[in-house]
Amino acid sequence: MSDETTIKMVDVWKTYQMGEEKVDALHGINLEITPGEFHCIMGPSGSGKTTFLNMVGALDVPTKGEVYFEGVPLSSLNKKQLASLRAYKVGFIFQTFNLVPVISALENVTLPLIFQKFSRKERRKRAETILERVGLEDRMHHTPDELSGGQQQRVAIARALAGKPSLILADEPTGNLDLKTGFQIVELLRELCHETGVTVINSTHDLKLIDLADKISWLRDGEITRTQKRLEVSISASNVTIPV
Amino acid sequence: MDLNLPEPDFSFFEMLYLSFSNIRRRFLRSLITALGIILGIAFMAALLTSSLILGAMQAESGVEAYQFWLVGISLVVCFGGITNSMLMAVNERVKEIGVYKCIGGLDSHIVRLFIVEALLLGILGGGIGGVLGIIFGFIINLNRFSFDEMSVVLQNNSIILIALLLLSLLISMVLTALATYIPARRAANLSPAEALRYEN
Repeated sequence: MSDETTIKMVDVWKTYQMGEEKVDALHGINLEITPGEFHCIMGPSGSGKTTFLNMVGALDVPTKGEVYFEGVPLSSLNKKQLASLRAYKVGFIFQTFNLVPVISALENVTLPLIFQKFSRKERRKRAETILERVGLEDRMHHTPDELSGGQQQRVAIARALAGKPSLILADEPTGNLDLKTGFQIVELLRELCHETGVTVINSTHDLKLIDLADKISWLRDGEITRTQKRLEVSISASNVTIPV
Repeated sequence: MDLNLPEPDFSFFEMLYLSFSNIRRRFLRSLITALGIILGIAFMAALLTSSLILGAMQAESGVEAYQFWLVGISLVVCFGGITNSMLMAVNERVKEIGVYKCIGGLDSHIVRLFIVEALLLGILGGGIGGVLGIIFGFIINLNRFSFDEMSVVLQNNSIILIALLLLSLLISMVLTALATYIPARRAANLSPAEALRYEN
């Protein structure tokens, strides 16, 4: 298979049935994302960011159009193959962290490795290494409710990376964090992206985060109005307006 | 076209560990969930113990047939109760199910995870209920026979008592597993996106 694009979306539509009404969450998205890229999906709330990421991560099925993951059309995969894809190829990070509350940070990070059939010892070793990398070496054995928001999100990042995915999808990872912590989290994500070569798609409405992205796609009402390289965006984090 | 990835695996041992962690961390809540099953099983065990004692003592008024009907009805009621508890317990954790699916969990993994937890809860409920029931069955006959007389009866029938405990465990496990299956199946069938979006 050709690996030129990590993700290629061709005319992707998603329509939700809200009672009598039909709501188009995505209107014909076309987008290509190359390996190793830190791609920012920028858009206000309600613009379809979560729906977009759900399509890319095979969490939901598009109404129309096709998503290609490393050249493979997702519609050609069955339920089990999609689960394998999520287990081996994709890591998710959420606004609400979504850690399993009853187990420790370390055990949360080992979860994806269970699905990849790693032995207990290997899982532990790898999880410890990653938790050290995200700066949580002394909080490993705490449960999520004993960690701050920023720490929980670091655990979530470690969990997303543990399975050595080729793509990480971060859905407003800074949404529940204060500005400074949020910035540190995205910075960490970017560092990890460059260290490991994993592709990152980060959705946000916070324009202060654009400086960290390689490429930015502007999402408005379910449409990508434009995709730019960071250098082409003529705004700086201190003086921001949304180009239309 | 295919990505040629192996199927995700979720070993029984890991499920057991996660279920155990869950019951331990939410112990009080789990105990309340198990209360329905504890009471039903205790009632059954008490009646059967009492009938064992009365039978051995050749008492004139033994355990009547209608009392066994009562046991049956109480088990049905306790099944209703446990179904309700499990429905709520699963509903509370739909988001968590979404997370498991995001990191590669199959529908069948999720169902099995919940069934394993239900079985553990069943062992807990059946064990406590069975022991309580036997003690209670002993106590309610104290006004008729002496403590020593009954102790001898129970000692002579220790195998039956063990069988009674095993029966309690078995019934309890079957009932909790059945009660969990339907809500777990339903939640596991949601697409990961739906499960993550779920608000309770």
